[in-house]
Amino acid sequence: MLALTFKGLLRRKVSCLLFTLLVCIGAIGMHILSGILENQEDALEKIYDESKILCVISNLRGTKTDGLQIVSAYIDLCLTDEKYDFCTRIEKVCLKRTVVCHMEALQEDVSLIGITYTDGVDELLPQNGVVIQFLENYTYENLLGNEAFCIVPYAMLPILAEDGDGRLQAALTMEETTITLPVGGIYTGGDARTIYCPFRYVASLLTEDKIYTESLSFYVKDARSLESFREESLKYFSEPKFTAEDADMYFAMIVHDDLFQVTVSSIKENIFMLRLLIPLLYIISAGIGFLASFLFMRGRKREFAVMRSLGMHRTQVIGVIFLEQFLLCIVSTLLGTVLLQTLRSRMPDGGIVGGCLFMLCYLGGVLTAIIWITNVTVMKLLKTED
Amino acid sequence: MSNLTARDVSYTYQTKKRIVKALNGLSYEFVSGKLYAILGKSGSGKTTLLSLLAGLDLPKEGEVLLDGVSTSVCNRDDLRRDRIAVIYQDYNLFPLLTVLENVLYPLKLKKIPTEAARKIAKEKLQAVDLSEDCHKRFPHMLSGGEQQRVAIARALAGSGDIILADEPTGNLDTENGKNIISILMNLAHAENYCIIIVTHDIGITEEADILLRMQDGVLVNCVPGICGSRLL
Repeated sequence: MLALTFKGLLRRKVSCLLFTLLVCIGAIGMHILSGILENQEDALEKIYDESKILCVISNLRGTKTDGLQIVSAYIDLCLTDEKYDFCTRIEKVCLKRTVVCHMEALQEDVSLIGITYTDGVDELLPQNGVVIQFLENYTYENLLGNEAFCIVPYAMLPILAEDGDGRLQAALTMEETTITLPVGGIYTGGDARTIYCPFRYVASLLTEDKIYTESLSFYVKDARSLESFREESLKYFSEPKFTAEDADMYFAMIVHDDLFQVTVSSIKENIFMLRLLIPLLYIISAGIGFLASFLFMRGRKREFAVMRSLGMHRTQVIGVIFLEQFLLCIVSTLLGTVLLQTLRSRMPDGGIVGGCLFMLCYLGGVLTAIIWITNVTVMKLLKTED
Repeated sequence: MSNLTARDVSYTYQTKKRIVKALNGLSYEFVSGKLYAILGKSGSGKTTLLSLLAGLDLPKEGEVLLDGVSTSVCNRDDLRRDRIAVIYQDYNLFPLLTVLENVLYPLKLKKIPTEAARKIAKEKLQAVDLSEDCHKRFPHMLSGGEQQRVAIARALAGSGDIILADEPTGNLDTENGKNIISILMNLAHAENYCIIIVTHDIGITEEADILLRMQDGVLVNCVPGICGSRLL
C-alpha cells in the first residue's frame, strides 16, 4: 500500500524536487539562525567568564585615584570582613602604602612601598618599561603575605650588603627603627630610589591609626552580577561626581566597564532579536508548510477522493499522505544538514535543534493542510453534474 | 446472493439559492445477477442515490440495507473496500500509477500479499481483455475504453459483488461503450454481480435487465424501448 503511494510520489518529480528544495532551504536557514543564536549565547557567556572588570576607588570627584588615605576599615571591607558580602564579590585587591625610610648605604631617603600586586601600581607596569625578576623562592604570591622581603631597583644592587648565606639584603631605617629586608626580586626601568615590599609587612611596621592605603582597586569576580554589585557598592562608595566636594573619609568608585557594557549590550541585542525572530520564523515555517502542501496537493483532491471511494478511511488517507510528506521533509532536512555540515567545520547543537524544530513546525502546517484538503465530499469531487 | 435495498430513502441538500429534495421516500431492492439501468434528467438525484448506495453518504431519512444490515450501523469504508465497487465516467484512475498498480491498489488495501495480489490483478485485467502489454503503461497512455476497462478491473479486484457505475460509457465512443456494456452484462449474468448503472446511454437501456427511471425523487419501473427517449 505504502509502496504504491511512494511510487506515485516519486513519479511527481517536479513537485518533489520543489518541495525538497523548499524544505532544504528552510532547514538550512533555521540551522544557521539557531546556530548564530547559540554562538551569540556562547560568546556572551565567554565574555562574562573572561571579562575582568576593574573598579578603582577615587576621591568623590573621581579625579584622583592615588595619594589617597583610605582607612583600614575599607581595607578590611575589601579583604577580610565577612560581615559584609563585599569581599566575597571581588578579587585581586590592589593596595599601596608608601613610607619614607633612610638608606644608610645610599646616604639618602628612599620610598618603601607596600603593595599586594605589582600590576596594581602604575610605576611597575610593563607598559612603562618596567621588568620585574623574582629571585629563587619568591613569586608574586609572596606580596600577598606579610613576609619581610623586598623588590629593589637594579641600580641599587651594587650598594646592597650580603647576609651570612650570601643573599642580598636592604638595610633601612624607619623612624629610628632599623629594618633589614632580604631581596626577593629586582626590577629595571623604574625609579631607582623606590623599594617594594608586601603591603601587610608595611602595615605591620605602622601603628593602627597610621594604616591606610593610598590607592585601592579590585576586580569584580562575577561580571554577570555587575549591576547588583554596583548597587551593593553604593553602600560604601558613591558614584564619582565632578561637582562633589571632596571629603577625607568618603570615596567614590570608578567602574571601568565601558568596553564590557558596549560588547555585552550589542550581543544581548542580537540575542534578543534572534529570540524574537526565531519563534516568528517557526510560525512562518508552519504557514509555509501549510501553503506549500496546500498548493502541491490541491490538484490531488480527486486522487484522495478515489482513495476514499476504494474504501480507505479518512485517517488512513491522512496518514498515507502525511507519511509521504514526512519522508520528503526528513530527507530534505537531512540534506540541508549534511550540506551545511560540509560547508562548516562544526554544526552547533542549537543549529540541529533549530533544524528539527523547523521541520516539526513545517510538518504541523503540512498536517493542517492535509486535514483541510481531505475533508471532502467524495461524490462531489468525483462528479460535479447531477 | 447480495441484496442491496433502499428503504424510504429521502435526501435533501442545500444549494446557494434553495433546498433541493433529491430523493423523496425512495424504496427499491437490487439483487445479484441483474444489471439495472437508472435513467433520469440531470439533477433528478441519480448520482445522489448512487452515493447513498455506495455508502459515501447517509440518507437524511430512511435507510440503505446491505443483506439486511443498515449502512448507518456498519463501517461504510469497509463496505466499499470489501463489498461495493464504484466505477466513474471519468475513470478516476491514479494517474501516476501503472495499469497493474492501479488494479493492485484495492488488493493492497485489503492487505493481500504482493505475489497473490499481482496474480489476482493480472487475472482481473485479463477478464476485461487487457493484454500484458498494457500493464506497465500509465493511464494517460491508454484510450478511454481501455481506461474504463482498467477501472472495471480495479472494481473487480476489490472482490465485491456489487458494482455501481456512474455514466460508465459517458466518455466513450459507441464501439468502446458497447464493449464496456458487454463486460458489465457478462459480470451480472455469468459472475452473479449486482450491477447498477446510472446512465444516459441508450445502448445500456436496451441491454439492461431492469430499466428504472428517477422521477420526483423516487424510482419508477420502465419498459425497455417504451420508457421514452425524452428521459435520456
